[in-house]
Amino acid sequence: MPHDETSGFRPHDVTMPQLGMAQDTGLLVNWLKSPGDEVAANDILFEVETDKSKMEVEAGRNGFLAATLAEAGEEVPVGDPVAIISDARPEAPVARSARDGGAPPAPAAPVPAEKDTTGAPAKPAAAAPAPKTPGAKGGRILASPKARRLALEQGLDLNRLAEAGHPQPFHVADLDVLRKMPATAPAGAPSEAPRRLTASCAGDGLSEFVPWAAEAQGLTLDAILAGLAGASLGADGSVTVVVERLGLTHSFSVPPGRSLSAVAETDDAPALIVRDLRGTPISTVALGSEQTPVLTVTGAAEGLSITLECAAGARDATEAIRLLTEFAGRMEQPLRHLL
Amino acid sequence: MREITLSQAVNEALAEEMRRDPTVVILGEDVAEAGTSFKVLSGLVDEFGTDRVIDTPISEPGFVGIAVGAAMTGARPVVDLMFGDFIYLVMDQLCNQAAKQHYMSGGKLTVPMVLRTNLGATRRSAAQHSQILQALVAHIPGLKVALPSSAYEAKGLMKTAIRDNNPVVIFEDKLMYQHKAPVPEEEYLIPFGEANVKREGKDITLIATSSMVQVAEKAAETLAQEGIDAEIIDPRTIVPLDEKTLLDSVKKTSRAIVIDEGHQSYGVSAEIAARLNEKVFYHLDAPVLRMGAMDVPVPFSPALEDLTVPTPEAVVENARKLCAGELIHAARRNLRFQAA
Repeated sequence: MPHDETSGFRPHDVTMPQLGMAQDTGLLVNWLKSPGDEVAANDILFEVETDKSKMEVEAGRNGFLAATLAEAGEEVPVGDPVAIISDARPEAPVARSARDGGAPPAPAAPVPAEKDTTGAPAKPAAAAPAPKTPGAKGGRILASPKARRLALEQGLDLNRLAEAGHPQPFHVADLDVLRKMPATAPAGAPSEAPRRLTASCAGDGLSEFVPWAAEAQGLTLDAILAGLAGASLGADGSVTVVVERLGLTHSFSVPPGRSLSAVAETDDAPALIVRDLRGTPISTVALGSEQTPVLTVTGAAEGLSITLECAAGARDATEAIRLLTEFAGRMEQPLRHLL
Repeated sequence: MREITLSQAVNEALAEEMRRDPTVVILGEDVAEAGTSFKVLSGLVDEFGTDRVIDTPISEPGFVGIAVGAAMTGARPVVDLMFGDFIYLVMDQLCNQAAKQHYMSGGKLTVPMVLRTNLGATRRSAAQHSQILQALVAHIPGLKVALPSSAYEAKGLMKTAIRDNNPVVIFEDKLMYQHKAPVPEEEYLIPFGEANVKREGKDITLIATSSMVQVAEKAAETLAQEGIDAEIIDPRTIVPLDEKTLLDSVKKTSRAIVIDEGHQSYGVSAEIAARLNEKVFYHLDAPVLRMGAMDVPVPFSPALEDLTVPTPEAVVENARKLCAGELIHAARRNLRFQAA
């Protein structure tokens, strides 16, 4: 039916053809091209044998052999992809076996990782004893079609993201995280468990306060969040607070005192991050500690939930409790901040 | 540019085409003296007389059947169906006769007829005068279906419809008759099968028909404040459908919501969503969502009726959800600081 050039199946899948009426699988006899080769539409890619016949399968379109999904000697179900042809030269062509099913092979992955990690020490190219736990928790990794396609084209192994506990389903943006992951798991010394505290607020005081502050004082929501969080630190000097909301990041310098209008944008490294996830479907977070303590605000059935995450060394228990209590109080009742 | 109402735009289109081509005639209930119950055709009978602007008895199958026959024998009738809901009455004339004559006659006959009718809920007209039924006719091969989203589209599409040699059904949103939009004084036509990119964006594509374009525009304004850059596409005709513009947009944004005011199940939005899935699957970073009217008869209670149709707020909510993958990522990324 789709006979226009816009039909979306690119990169192009070459599938196992049906050669006989009652044929379920085909035997891949041998490959005539190698992963990464440039191919023309009528180039023979591989040979297939069934109980009755033998046939050569063409690439079907000009491009590059980005992935071979079965090895010579393997049976492949009719209709399943055997090869992937991409328009662009693949950075790291993939060769895998049909036995691996949907999961790309762990050993193939280290190759591309090398290129992307900037300035990192050289990684062992040999595959570590790959824990064969694709998707760990029961099989299939959830990823968007586009993320899966790009991962395949660029030789990125989604298993590594899954093993790192990165939340699924994976989207295109998550591939950035994958590219930045060290090639092997950092077998570092077990560090102290990070701190994670959660507070519930009965109400979201901001919904009334923000419009008022915007009109009366010309304050933005981000500046208010930064001001409330910065003051909760109770520092003697100015502190820098970063507010992340809907993918946008703003950094503010918060002077001591209660004046929200003294909050100004800055580029300094932050002492605290406020992540505003209200309005998203996310209700709780456990993202692990980061370099900087993070206060995550999520919407709850009624009111708000606020989570503080930080490394154990960043803030002792008392300080962490005080910071979260102060901030939660201000979020529930912003006027308290001013009084 | 001057601004005129959608009602005036339709009136102008008809008057211009009737002056241009003496075979163009209008027929329907209350079209002449009353100028239709929405006053869209006011004044036409004064210029063109009752031979060309014809009041018919209250019998939809009768006058649509007459129009089909007239179209087959040399006229270019524009039939006025007072409410889109009455389309059920003329299903045989429209779908069995008009849509199939060219095929059944081996190409010897054409039916250059326009069925002008309307759609749209939230007018407090209850379940039998509020329906949005373009999906019914879009399903039938042989009929073209146009859904103007403003006065500009209403005029340009109507003129193209009248000159088309196939039966065309045009649904005007009855709540938009008094909405004004810039419409050039000079003549123009809007070709069928050419979508309009109403707003360019990079994060999500909102494909919207008829008055849902305005819903999408309001949603896009809110989303812009949240850093989500929405692209809005108005297909303008759903048969023929400008697939390429839709696919190109979704390839760019990787996400799409299809908004059509018809019932959501088995509807226009479902058809467009299915085509996106078939043809740009590997470019999608989130599922394609449909948004349509609730699968209930349109309630008479204003409070309930307003709940049944897509709203800008609901579009914003859905767009946020589709972009949430990016949001989660942005929350984790924190690159600027960890790099240090």
